Amino acid sequence: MKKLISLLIVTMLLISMFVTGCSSGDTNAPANNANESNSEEKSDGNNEGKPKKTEIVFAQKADIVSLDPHATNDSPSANLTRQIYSSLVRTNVNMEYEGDLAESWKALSPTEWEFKLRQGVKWHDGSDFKASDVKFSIERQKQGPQVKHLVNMITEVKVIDDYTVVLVTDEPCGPLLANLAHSASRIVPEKACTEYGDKFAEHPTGTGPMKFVEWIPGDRVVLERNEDYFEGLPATERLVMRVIPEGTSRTIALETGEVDLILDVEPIDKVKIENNPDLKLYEEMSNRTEWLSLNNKKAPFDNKLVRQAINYAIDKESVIEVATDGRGMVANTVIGPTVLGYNPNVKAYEYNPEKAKQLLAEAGFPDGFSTTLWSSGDVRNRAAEVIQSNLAEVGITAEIELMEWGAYLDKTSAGEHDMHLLGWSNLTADGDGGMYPNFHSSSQGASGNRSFFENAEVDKLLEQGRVETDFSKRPKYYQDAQDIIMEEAAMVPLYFQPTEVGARADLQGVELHPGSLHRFHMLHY
Amino acid sequence: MFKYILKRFLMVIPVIIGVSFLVYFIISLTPGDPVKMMLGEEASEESIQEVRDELGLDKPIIVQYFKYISKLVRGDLGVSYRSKRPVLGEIVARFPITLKLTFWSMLVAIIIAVPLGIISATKQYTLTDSICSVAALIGAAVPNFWYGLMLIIWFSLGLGWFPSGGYEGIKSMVLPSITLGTTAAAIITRMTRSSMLEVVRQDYIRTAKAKGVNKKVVIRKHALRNALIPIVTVVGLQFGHMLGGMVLTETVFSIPGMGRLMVDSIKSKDTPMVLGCIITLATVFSLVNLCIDILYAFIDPRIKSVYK
Amino acid sequence: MENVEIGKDLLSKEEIIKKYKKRSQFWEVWRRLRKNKLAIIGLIIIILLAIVAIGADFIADYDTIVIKQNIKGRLQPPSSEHIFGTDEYGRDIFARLVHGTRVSLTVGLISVSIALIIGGFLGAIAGYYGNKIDNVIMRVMDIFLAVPNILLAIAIVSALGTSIINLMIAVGISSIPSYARIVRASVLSIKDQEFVEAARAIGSKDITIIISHIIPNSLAPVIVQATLGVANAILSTAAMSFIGLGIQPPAPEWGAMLSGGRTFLRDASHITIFPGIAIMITILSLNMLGDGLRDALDPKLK
Repeated sequence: MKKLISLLIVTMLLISMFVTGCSSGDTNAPANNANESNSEEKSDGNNEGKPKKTEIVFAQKADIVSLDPHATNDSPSANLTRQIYSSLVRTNVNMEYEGDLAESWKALSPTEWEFKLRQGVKWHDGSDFKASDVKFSIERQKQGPQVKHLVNMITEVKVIDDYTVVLVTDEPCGPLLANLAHSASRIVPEKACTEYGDKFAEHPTGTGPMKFVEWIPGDRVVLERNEDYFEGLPATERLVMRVIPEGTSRTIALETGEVDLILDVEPIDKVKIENNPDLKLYEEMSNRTEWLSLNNKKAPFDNKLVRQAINYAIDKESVIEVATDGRGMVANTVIGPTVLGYNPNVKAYEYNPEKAKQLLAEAGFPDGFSTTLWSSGDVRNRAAEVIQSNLAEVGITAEIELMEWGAYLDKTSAGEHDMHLLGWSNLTADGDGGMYPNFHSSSQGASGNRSFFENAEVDKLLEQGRVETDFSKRPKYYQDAQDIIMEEAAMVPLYFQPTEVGARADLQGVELHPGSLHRFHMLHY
Repeated sequence: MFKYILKRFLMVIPVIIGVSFLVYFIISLTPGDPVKMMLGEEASEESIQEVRDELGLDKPIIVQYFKYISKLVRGDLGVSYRSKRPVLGEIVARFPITLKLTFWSMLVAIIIAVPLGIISATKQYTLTDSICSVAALIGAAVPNFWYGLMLIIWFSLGLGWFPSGGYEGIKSMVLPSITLGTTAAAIITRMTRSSMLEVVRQDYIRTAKAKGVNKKVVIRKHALRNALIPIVTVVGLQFGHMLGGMVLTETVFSIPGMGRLMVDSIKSKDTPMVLGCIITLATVFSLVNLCIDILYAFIDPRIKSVYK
Repeated sequence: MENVEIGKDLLSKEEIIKKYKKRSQFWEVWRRLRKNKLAIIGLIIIILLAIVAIGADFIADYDTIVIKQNIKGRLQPPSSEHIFGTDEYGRDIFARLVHGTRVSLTVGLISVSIALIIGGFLGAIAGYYGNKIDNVIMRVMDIFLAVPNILLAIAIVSALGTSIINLMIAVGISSIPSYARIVRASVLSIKDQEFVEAARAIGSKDITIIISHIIPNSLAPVIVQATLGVANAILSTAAMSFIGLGIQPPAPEWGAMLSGGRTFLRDASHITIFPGIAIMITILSLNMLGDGLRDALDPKLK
């Protein structure tokens, strides 16, 4: 009897804890009060009495793979290498090219580009930056399996003098600047690299605004400002990147003030950040396209009718609703409106399950078929479930397989998949950057074409777009290519994604880059 | 005494070797080509074959296993497929964190559980006892990852008392320790209670009470000491469970420990890392059990005498 | 009719016979279990869950309710239409919980059965034959025990792939040692008893002895362990689904539902609360039942 009573009492206690716990979680009022006193306390605590915080902490969802820019091509690493290193050129927040280590550049001929380099730039170890470093870097980049596709077309780097180089390409290369502005095209010091050899990644030395201090794997990377940065003293004294894999935890950390800025904001938390007076959500449409890739080399996806059927079968609005909480834009083509060469008039596949079934029957699958759908990461996994349900409606049974990111990239590069979800962050806002790696037959595999799409006409158009140096003529090639790609239904573009950053409202210097190439050296309170 | 310890210590080694074989065998069942994963897609067929020959991946499993063991005894755990850095280095960096967390959780668990168990046993059949027992039952039934999330919402977001994750100072250890410690506490409480109850019924306790010894002293000196063995056993077992429960807790609280490392490695089929992690954990667990066995000898001299 | 005095009571011969006649063990146990209120509650709940699991299809049709998505109606709090609300895809949570019962109980039962049969067999042999065989088997069990339960299960699932069968195998295999130990201990305590010697004397084969005498006598602790083992299996399954190594979507499994809902914890907490409660209640009941069985089967309390 006593035990029964106790059971009741304890259950009551638990229930009351839930009820209060949930409500305090849902409304932000009590949290805010606690936060305001908290963030002040924390700032003081961090700086031993200084009134303002000088250490800026930002959180992202995954740890870096390497701080050697030529050893990897993943975003989490790029977010850090961007602060440590510089490239020849970069894109600013308006997606315009501006010089980074290069002061000026001009084309000497369709295949030769001269770059005049900045003088007086110092590496983090104190040595001088010279043209020989550029030659060394580009040649080194050509050795890296994940990054060489960006500079493969450069056959020679001529060092004219200490501050002038000429890049020679095998063919005229329209997107050359775009590739040089890519996150992976960083200039590294010849001296330090040769000295450290394989261990360069442990002693990252660059010319960027922030210097490397330490990396605690799985936890954080600490950078401090480069007092001799050639663009002027960075406002951020110390920058710390923290790894917080759980989306909810990242937002909570921002709310409590433990971190000052977060990347990869969980879609459903965006409203919370917007409604929270202490926080600010910076959001805008990016160059990123998310899609469902179909393996064109595997049956039944080698059949155009099947691919088209799948395009009709998917309810993109629902996918967007679930994956991005409604903040994406339906994509009818493979590159977004912010990208050079965007074609708004391609053949559209509206959500039409009936038509899908028809096409499937025509293709010889009146009862559908069984296949697998691969995915990785929370947001895509949710999209996968919606797609699975959509496909089930037209008779296609798709078994979902969830994978870890590294293995995912490797296996999809090898073409082991039937269908998979992926996206492409077009860091250069250039049609070439968005389409060549993904649709040219030579890019099949790790370079990007994981749909294993092969079409001679598209190849020709992309190649022409690449060598055309007149920027007014280039879009047409890409638009035509998109017409073919969408007619062939090479894949199913799903949506264009916004890029966003969540930050403390009083954090200054936050600049959103449409390619998600955010720089953090000007953050301060 | 020394012979006892030595004997038990020597028995750990074959177990570890056995564990390595077991895990190696299991991992070898995994589909997928590790060399391709290591070198990436651009690698040519020749370089892939070269590395395969170098690693001896074309030879039968047994041969590969012996190669692994021979490296293992020299302290070389191989190189991670994913990060290309030595496995041992990464483990050494992250294991102490997991260990620390487990230690704190165990501390929390014991501090809560043992007194509660004793109170429960001495006040058997009262309301206090009933509440404690039921609370322990429920505590053992709550899935700890869910519990962890709830704690974050209540105490980190709601009250702002503790950080929501990460590994920075004592404050960040509190919530994770409570999460992990609660389930263990529940189980240890129940064991303490039942063990104490059994002991308390013994004749020598009645004799002590009849002699007029202070009740508290009776409990401390006689009852507890004799009840300790099953309690210590359970603590040891719970330590093992905690090492497993680490995986979830570290994910929820973003702690850069070995649990998360292991899960990430398993998901990315990073065999050397997985093997390294499991072997480390198994070794630690065996050593903990060894300590517990030695502890037995201290608590109960009869056990020691068997080995004299 | 003779009257015999027992203490202060006067009982008839019939009544004495009735009182002291050896009851079947099962009734004894049942009688003692009945007295334990918590255990009975646990038992009732388990039976209810089993009924729900078996009759799941009658309560909610799988294809049209459990896995059918309704994006427009997602993240709804509990209402008259959806008793427990809808999840992130608009699916009715109550229906998913109901079908999830089937998954959890199935995985629990089968994995425990695997562990029990294999482990019990190994333990029986080890205990009965002793010496070298005992040593070898127990060392192997030690090896298994050196790796924490969940980690071994995770390693097995990641090697074999994520499917419900592999899940059962993984959880089952990682639980084998406990059953081996229990059965072995039991066997050791019985094997030198007289009735075993007697059986050997008649010439019964070893295997017959094991099956007809030893195993029935070691059932008691095994049953307790099994009950608690099902609880553990359910927790392990939930934990693995939480990490993403468990049952694949769209199949409803409590742990997977918890995992899916954790992004929405602050906005639609009902997605995680209800599966969490389901897991808790199931494990609680199993534990209460297991405890009750342990007390009821304990010869010392007779």
